[in-house]
Amino acid sequence: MKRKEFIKFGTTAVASTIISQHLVGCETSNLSHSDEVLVVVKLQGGMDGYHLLAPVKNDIFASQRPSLHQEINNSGIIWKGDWAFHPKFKILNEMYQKGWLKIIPNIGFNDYKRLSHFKAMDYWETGSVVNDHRIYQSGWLGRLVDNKTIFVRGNESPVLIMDRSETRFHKGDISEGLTYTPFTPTGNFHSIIEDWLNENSHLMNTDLYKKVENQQKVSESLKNIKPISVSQKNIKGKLDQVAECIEQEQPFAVYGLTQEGYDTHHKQSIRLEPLAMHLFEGLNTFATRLSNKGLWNRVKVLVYTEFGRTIAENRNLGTDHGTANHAYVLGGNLESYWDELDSSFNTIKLAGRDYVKHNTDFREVYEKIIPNRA
Amino acid sequence: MKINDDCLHILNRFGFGPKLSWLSSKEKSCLLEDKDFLINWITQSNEGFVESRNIEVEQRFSDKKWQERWPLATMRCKWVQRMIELENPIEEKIALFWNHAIPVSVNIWGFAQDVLMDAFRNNASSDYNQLLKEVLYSPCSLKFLNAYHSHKNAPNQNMPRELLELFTVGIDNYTQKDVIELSRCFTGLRTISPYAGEPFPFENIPYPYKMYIDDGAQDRGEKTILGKTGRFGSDEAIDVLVSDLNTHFNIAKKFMMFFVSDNPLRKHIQELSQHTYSKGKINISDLIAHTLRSNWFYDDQYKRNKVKTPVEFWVGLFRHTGLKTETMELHSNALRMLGQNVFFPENVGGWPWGKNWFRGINLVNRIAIPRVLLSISHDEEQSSEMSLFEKVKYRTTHRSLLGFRYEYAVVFNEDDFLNIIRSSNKTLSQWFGTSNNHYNNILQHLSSTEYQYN
Repeated sequence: MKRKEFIKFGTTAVASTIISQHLVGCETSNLSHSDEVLVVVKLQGGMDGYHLLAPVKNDIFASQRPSLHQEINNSGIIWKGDWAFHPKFKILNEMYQKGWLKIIPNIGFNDYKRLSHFKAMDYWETGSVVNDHRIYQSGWLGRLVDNKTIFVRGNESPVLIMDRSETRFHKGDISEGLTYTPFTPTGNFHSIIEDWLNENSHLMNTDLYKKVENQQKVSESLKNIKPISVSQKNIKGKLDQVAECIEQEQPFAVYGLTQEGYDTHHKQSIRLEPLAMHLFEGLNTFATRLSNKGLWNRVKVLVYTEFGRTIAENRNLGTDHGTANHAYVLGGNLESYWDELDSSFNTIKLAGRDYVKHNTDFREVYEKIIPNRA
Repeated sequence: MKINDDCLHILNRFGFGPKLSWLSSKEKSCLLEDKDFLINWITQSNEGFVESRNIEVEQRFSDKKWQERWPLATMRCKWVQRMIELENPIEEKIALFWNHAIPVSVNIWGFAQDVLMDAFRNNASSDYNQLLKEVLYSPCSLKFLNAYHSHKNAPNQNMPRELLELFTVGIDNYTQKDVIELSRCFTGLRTISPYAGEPFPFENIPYPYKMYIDDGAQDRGEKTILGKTGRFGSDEAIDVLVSDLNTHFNIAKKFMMFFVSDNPLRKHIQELSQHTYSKGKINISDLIAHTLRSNWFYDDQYKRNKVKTPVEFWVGLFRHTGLKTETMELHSNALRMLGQNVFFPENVGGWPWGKNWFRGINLVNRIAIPRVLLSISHDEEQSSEMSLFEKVKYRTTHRSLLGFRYEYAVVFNEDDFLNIIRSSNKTLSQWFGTSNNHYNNILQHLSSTEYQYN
């Protein structure tokens, strides 16, 4: 799939400005492998973004989430206009004031019928909203790597997934990212696999052999990273690993992480708030660490979740599957167009219930966030 | 006589592979040669299932406290050992299939998981309706899908939605209105179990945790699901969903993807779903009998090209080589390294299918673990005074690799193995079912890419 076709999905007006901005100040021929880094954090389950940043002046929201509305209205911190942060999440305001965090409100896609985890995740990962998955099995980032739109000198697989979850955004038709799970013991399998690779060199062109070879290269390249223990097997620990990789100038341009547990059909505040707190504290530590080493300007973090939730609470103090949501972009050198997106809160009625209507299409974020454009 | 290729195919798919001891036994070796005899032996549902349920296989754990501390891992180990020891593990294989088809993650400690396993095992030969009801009413599912709190004033949509999307008709075959109507049918389900989140004393827990219905919370009105109207409770709603043609197709598809091929042909799936639809009910043992007696099951396109799930790989390794282990913790740790922590699917969508098992560290482990296991016992000297179950200490490198903390014994007697193969006039490639005579020794066979496929 050609690059032009990808751009066709988003808004072409934006695309041309992006290319010129990325090319300013860096010569493509000398693009080193440690230039820009993107960290993609997927929140699995459908995080309720409006719990953290709510449209307090909106009547529908106030009437359908009375206790949350009261909490935020009394002591929340204003973001802009009608929006206010939840009082427990001062850290979001701190990061926003420093210019490290930009929030993209009301992001979504044009499918209000299915409200399914799997379909929503398919859309986000393949970068398309078509019914027929036979057309787009590959991920948006994988296609870019296939077409050499992302350039990382000397590395055919510039994407590293630090998880065991089944993400697809890095899988192109030709290329596939590498996986590294930093908390499982790998130890000395290295020599065993070397023997295997030597014995089976007649299989050099098969998929399986290439996967094993790539995995061997990853464990070779990352052998100086200290593995984290099982108790640190959470997003903070993984972000530490990523920070260490960036400091060591590992040849990867994109890192993929996942945090699970956001499908809050039941007792939402008890489950959501600690998880989100953990996430944003981890991101703050990550940003501070890289900023102290002077690397934060090259890094961007995209935090997204597959869909939002219903405006109204259900009887179990939770919410059910909904439509639009917020996405978060972090970085040391963020452009001002993130602030210019439409942040008005609009609702739509479906089967007698209110859902949020999205203003921004999710593919616009991908357009703007691709690192190392060749 | 030569090993019949079709027999090997049947044993690999509807079982975990042939056992090494069969080669030296006259009654069992005809299983490998006579196809009709084998089909009868597998499908004798009454004898096979009842017999297997009563067999307690021998298990030894190196530390009794380990069992108390990790009850789920203990259960995992016991189940895997049954798969290895039983002559005809068809019931265990069906339970594994249901684990893949109806994935329910366990976030409950304790005996609630026994209920789920009983539901899978006891209903292996009964209808899908019955199985689905038992699984969904167990405390594991009720908690996992938040259904134990649903009230008629504001019903919970999680379980009905996943039921429609994953377990019955499939996406695009229902509307949001169906989800809402179905969530009204599933109101009022309650369970007696402290692990469902309610404060409850730990004693006096009646096993097996019956589900009961709270009359005050149940919605008794008329509902319309998939075009049918009636005063449906949860039982009747499940019957309506299962009788839909799309459900038959989806179950036939999962059956084909688990037992037959990663990429089954649509016409064969449709043949199976027409068969079940004409009978009006979905019965797995019936489907198995139908598949075994068909012609297309033995086509070349369906042989040796289905990726083994980690459980199949691990159990097959033990059955093929006659490996014995004294301490059971090995099974739990190995399965975790291979990527299939049984009873803990990664999300409600369940386990990966096919080539998606070859990811990252799991792939490396699949290739390296046979070498690690078999090479340990090679290096130790064996004198005639030692017994077969001799305790062997890990070398420190391998100990840290496999994450074990206890002494264990894995015994593989290469001379015995080769003697058995030679005396039965089989070659290594014929025994392991590979098409290639390229491999000269056992380790090469077991860490070959062909051994990853069934």
